[in-house]
Amino acid sequence: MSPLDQVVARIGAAIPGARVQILPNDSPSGQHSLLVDHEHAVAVAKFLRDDPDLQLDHLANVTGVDWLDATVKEKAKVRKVINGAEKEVEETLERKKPGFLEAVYHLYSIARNHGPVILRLRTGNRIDQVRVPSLTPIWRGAEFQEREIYDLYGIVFDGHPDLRRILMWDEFQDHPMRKDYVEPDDYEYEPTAHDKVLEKAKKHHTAADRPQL
Amino acid sequence: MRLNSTTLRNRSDWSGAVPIRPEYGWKIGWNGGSRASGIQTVTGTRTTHMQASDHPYLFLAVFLVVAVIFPLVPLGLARLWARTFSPPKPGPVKNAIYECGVESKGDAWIQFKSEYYLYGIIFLIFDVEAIFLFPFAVAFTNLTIGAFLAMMMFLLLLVEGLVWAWQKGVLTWK
Amino acid sequence: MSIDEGLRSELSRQGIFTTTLEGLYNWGRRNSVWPLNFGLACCAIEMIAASMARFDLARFGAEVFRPSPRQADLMIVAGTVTKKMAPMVVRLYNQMPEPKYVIAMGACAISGGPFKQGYNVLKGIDRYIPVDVHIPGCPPRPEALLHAFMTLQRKIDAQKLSGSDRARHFDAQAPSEFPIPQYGQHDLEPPRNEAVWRPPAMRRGE
Repeated sequence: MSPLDQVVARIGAAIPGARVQILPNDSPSGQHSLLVDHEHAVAVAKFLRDDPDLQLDHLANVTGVDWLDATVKEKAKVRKVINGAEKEVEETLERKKPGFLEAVYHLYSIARNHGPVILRLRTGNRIDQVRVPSLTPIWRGAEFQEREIYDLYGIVFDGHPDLRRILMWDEFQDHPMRKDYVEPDDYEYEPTAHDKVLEKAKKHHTAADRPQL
Repeated sequence: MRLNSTTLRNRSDWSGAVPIRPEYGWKIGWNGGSRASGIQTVTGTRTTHMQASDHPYLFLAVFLVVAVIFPLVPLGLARLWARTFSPPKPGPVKNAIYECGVESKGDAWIQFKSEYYLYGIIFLIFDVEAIFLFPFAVAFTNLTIGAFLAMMMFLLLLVEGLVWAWQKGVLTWK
Repeated sequence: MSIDEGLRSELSRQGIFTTTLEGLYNWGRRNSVWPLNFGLACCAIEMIAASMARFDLARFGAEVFRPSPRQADLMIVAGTVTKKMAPMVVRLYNQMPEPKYVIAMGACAISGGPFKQGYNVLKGIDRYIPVDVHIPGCPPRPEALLHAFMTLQRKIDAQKLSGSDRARHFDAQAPSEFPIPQYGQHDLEPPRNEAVWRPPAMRRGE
């Protein structure tokens, strides 16, 4: 398979206006991924599947990621005037990084025996802009996994043929795999009462029967 | 000569030696009413007075009574047991019709696609064909060329039907 | 309804066997426990193994796995009970005729096991239905299930026909159906049946 930047260039040539960005992966695996914009996601996916050099016909895995709002600390060198003299000082800058939800698609080619190519679709934020286009029309195997991501992360897939909860019951309101999910407080005695578990346990016991832990 | 049901049941016992001939001796008990006191039986020159237990169809009556009592007694005992010890505890869930844990929704009278039956019939034809193929395969080396041709003709007819159904689009599930 | 033990053994030495109605009744029941044929997770594989020739559950008269709750005496809750599955399990239990028994098989069925702090697994089926025998293990070996069967047989054998301590199914006031939990917005509602199960008080150092 041609390198990822060539793939991006060919996508750009085939689909005008598609914004595809390479997200580098610094780990030893070096599995860089492609961030695709919503408008052209289906067209890009179709190109990846049908292009004779790529033929990414096998969708191995779809998963979700929850990125919370974060503050990123960056060290930067800033020129400042200190005591009348201009100096170059290293300063720590805090940058707010808004959270979002992400759907990750791992693609392989069975016909040409290569892969993976990793596609990422990101939502606008974690609260009200949680829609991404569904790739089920391209890879039928995405159907249940997108339902699972909808169930557990709350990403709404536009164009999905049957978007219902798949693991939890229909009346369920939460998205349990989100990092800010709070599980129902039906806590009782646990054999390992440590830290947060201990704090919870204390709330459920009156002063009389509260153990001396 | 005493007869009882055991000897009567075994025809070889009373065919030769026993001087009873039904065509002029017997009165069949049931249409003669309940003649429990015994039946006068004419056997040639002798007249024998028989006991009630001698009636040849008595064992049937006994069998009938036992057949009724045999299931009734345990049923009655179970009923008695339930009345004495086990209180009945019916309930809406326990009496529900469906019994797989899921609540039933809607009507049981739903419509099936007619293609399903075509599928079913085609499956059945080839299922039955397999039954013919097994003995054919077992006896294959000893068969004459005529038998072989007959079997091939049989297969051809079925396959022809399959091809026809295929072309009609029956095998495509829409 | 009791007979002197010495007299009984003397009689049996003479070839006369005596029993009580209670003994006869319990003898019949404990040797024909029919389990309900269902499995929820990997423990069910061990349950199947226990019913096969090597471990041979048939020795205990329990080989007749019934596909319908109406014909079953025993519910083996073999495996993880998810919150989505819990109402079905309780409904099946409710549809079983009295007397009925429950074996909770494996860590998940008795407490939620490794999934206890998760969002989707019930923390033990004993929150909704009365459990007679708990088997720990992940999964328990077939021998453990056989042990549970023998324990259940001892329990059945000890049940009384009459008196205040008579078996539960003889008590007209004892419930035969238990409330089925409903799917709530965040959890099953109610999260437990207080009449059946209460969280144990946490005490230490006593």
